[in-house]
This record gives sequence, C-alpha cells and structure tokens, in this order.
Amino acid sequence: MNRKILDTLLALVGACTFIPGLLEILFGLTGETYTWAILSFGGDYDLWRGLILVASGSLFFFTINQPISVQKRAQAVLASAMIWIVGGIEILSTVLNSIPGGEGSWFNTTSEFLSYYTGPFTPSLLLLPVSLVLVILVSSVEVKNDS
Amino acid sequence: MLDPEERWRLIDKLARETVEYGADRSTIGSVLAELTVKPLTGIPFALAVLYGFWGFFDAFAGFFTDGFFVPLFDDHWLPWIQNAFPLKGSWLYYILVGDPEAVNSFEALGMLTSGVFVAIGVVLPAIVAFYLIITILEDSGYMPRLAVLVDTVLHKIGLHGFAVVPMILSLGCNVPGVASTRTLETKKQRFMMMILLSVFIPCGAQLGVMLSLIPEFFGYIMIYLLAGFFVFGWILNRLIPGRSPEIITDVPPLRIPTFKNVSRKLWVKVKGFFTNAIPFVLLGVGLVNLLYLGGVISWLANSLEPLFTGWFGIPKETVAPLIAGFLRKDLAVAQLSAIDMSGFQLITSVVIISIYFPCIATFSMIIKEGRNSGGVIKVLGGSLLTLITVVFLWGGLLHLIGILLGVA
Repeated sequence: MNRKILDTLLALVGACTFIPGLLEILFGLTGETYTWAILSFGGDYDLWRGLILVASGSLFFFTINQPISVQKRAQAVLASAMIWIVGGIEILSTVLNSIPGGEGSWFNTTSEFLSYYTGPFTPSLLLLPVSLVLVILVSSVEVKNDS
Repeated sequence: MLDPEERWRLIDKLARETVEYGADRSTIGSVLAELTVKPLTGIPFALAVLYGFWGFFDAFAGFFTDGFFVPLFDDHWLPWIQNAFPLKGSWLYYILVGDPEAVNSFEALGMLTSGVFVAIGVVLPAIVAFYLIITILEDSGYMPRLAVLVDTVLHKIGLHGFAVVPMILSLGCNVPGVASTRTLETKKQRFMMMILLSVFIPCGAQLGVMLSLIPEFFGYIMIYLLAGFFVFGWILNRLIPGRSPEIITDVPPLRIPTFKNVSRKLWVKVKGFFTNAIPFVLLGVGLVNLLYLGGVISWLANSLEPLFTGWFGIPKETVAPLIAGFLRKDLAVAQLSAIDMSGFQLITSVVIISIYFPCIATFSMIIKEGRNSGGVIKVLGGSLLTLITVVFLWGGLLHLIGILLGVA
C-alpha cells in the first residue's frame, strides 16, 4: 500500500470520528438524544465521549501527509486507542447490563438478553472495528524513514 | 546543596562524558510512551483514560450492586432477618436490625441490614472496580505520565506533578493517600497535601456510594470539591511559609501489566478493606442507633438547627449522617440519601459530609504523619483551623450560590 492510499484512509477514518464527535458534543450540550438507522447520539457522558472522538479524529488528521514512519504509526495507534477505550466501555456496559434480570429473576431471559445487542449503537462502537483494521493496515506498511 | 541551574549544568557535564549517541531506534512503544506525556496528545489521551476509568467503574459496580446485591438484600436477606431475629421491639433489635417495617436495606438502618448492605452490596464492588483500574494504571507505567501532565497545574498551588499520586491514592482511600504525602519534599507541601486530600478528595467508597445512589448530582459535587482543592491550595500556598522545590523524575516505559501482579495487589487492597473498613461501617451504624436511642441525635439536631438551616441550607436531620461520617463517609452518604430533601440540599449535604472532617482513620493517619511534617500539635492545630474555615466558607458559599440561582 502506498502513502497516498494510506493517507486517504486515515483522512476518511478521521472524518468519520471527528464529525460524530462534534455531534455528540452538540447533543451533549442540548441534552437531546437522536437516533438515525443503527446510529445513536446522546445519553450518559455524551459530552465526554464527543470530546474524545473529536480529539481522536484530529489526531488522525495530524498523521496525514507525514512520511510513513514509526511516529505516524504511533499517532494512528494512539488515536485508535482512544476509540477502543470508548467503544470497549460501551461493549462492557452493554454486556453487563444485559445479564441481570428484572424483578423476580436473577438473570434475563434469552430474548431480553439478545435485545440489548440489536442497537442502536453509539458512533464509537461502530468505529471500533474500522479503527482496528486501520491499525493493522498502518502496521503492515513498510517504514521507509525511521528517524 | 545545588540550585536547579547548577544541577542541570552538572547533568549536562556528566551526560557529555558518559553518553554515546547512536542511530535513533524508535519503536511504536517508545513513541507511544513519548506521545502520552506531550500535552497536545497526552491530555486528550488522559481524557480517554479517565473516561475508561469511570465507565468501567460505573458498569462493574452497577452490575453487582443493582443487578445482584440489591435484590439479594432487599428481597431475601432483609425480610428473613426481620422475621428471624428475636426480641422485636427491643433496643437490641433496633440497633442490629433497625426498622421492622422497612422494605429496603437502605431504610432499615440496622447494623445487620443497612450496615452489611452498604459494606458488601455497595462499597465492595466499587472498591474492587476502583482498585483494579488503579493497579492497572500503576503497573502499566501510565501513572507517572499523568503526573507529568498535571505538573503545570499543580505548580500553581505550590505542589508538583507527583502530588497526583497521593491524590489518586486518596480517591481509593484517604489513609494511604495521606501516608504517601511523605514522598513530597518539604514540610509545607506535606502539610498542604494532607489537608487538601482529607478535605476535598472523596474516597473510593464514598465515590461508589455517590455514583450508585445520586449519579445525577455526582458531577456537580466533584466539580465543587475539586474547585475547593485548588482555591484552598492556592490560599494555603500563600499563607504557609516554606519552599516548593522543582523535581526531576524518571518516567518509566509503558508496559503491559501482568495478571499475577494485578491480582496479587488487588487481593491485598480488598483484604485491607475487609479487615479495616467493614468493622467501621458496622460500628458507625451501631453508634448512630445508640445515639438515636439515647436522644443525643435529636438534641444535637435541635441545637444545631439554626446553623444547618440558616448557614448551610440543609435540614437538621443531617446531623446523624454527619456523626456517622466521622466513622465512614460512604455510610454517611448512604444515610443522607434516605432523608427527604431537595436536590440542591442533597448536593450541599454531601459536600458538607466530605469537607467537615476527615474520617477517623484518616484523622489518625494525619496525626501519625504530622510528626514528620512540623510536629503533631502544629499539624493538628493547623488542620483544625483550616477545616473549620473550609467548612464554613466553602459550605456557606454553596448555599449562597444556591440562593443566587434560586434553587436553595
């Protein structure tokens, strides 16, 4: 993969992180929630999540136009790690919320348990697999200038 | 003793004589380690780490407390002990079981009902979640990076970046937080940090109870307490004589924590909670019940009513949690949530519980550490004077803010 393709991918992922982050901040400030298809904005800590996504998107943008180097790789990994933290917490919280039952039973029924996994999902959750693939791609590109 | 300028010259000289420079062999790990201490990339990453911290805490503690312990204690343990315990109507029943008509463990207020529920059902999951994250951050080498990032901010109040270590330890328990102030350089820094920690930094147990019972007010309370930390830190820095020297520190590389080390450290900390904290929680509930039976609580509530309602704007019933707070702050917050009051009064009450006095364990540690920080009498006198000033000024100011906003 050459640098141009890699930079285009970084810019795309950066935009897909930055824009939802801005929207999360917006919905955080207005206190509203919004759902579009399987994507959901708002909820607990949305302002915090939005700030992290905006920062992560910005970091992806910073990596564009840099020569392929360890520095560039590390910046992409750091930006992705920020998405993984937010997305990972979403997954953990969904799993832990889906297990206990309501009144009268210790555990949820199978259908109630599965209903937690049908969405809608926050942007960070959808970005998680994308950023994972991106990190694999960035790591597989040969470093030409290591200084 | 060399001043910082001379130290740097000596370091440069030694480096010239001993260091050989070769080609840069950066790895992703080393560059990542570097990026986490640079403000431009380090601060946003710290924001993400703290989000992960609270997100994990919230999900983990909520899973055990709301998912399993609340039904266990409310639907099984409470009705069973209310019926099985003999001597219904006696003072012993009142102290150990509490209200025989209570339908949840919080409102029962007995040692074996509310006491056991708060200790095991609420605080234990919070403590495990908190210590697990703290241990991972320590073992990964991220904690010193956080110290470097907050160095500039803490310099404004006469401390340095490594003061973040006692701060973070205090978020778990104020006792090791106060003990770790001995790593600070001067008596002035140690005294300042001991007071600021014990007053403005809520412990993990209190944080857990706050997050479980009053999550909607958690952010406001934390912002007000942290603002107090910096305002009074700034004032103390100007009032207390002494030095606030710079430090030079080594930042270790980032590492993946090992399961063996994390589990061992976690076990030691949780074991400490079982042996040190749980008896205090049970004792706190028992003491408050005894004081209720003896009429002391109602006498105190009536005597302090003008101060509580007039100056702080909180109901007189908060006297009992304030007394319990001397033994355990988490228990005090749990008791507050059972009192009928407005949202703003609840925020003010929790702030007052946090700042009016450290818990007995922290207070004992302040006395112990005071020997190394200017003498016990000097530290104790200074602490009490600061505590009284802080509780009246910061508590009264919150009431004033509430009046101005039209919510108090």
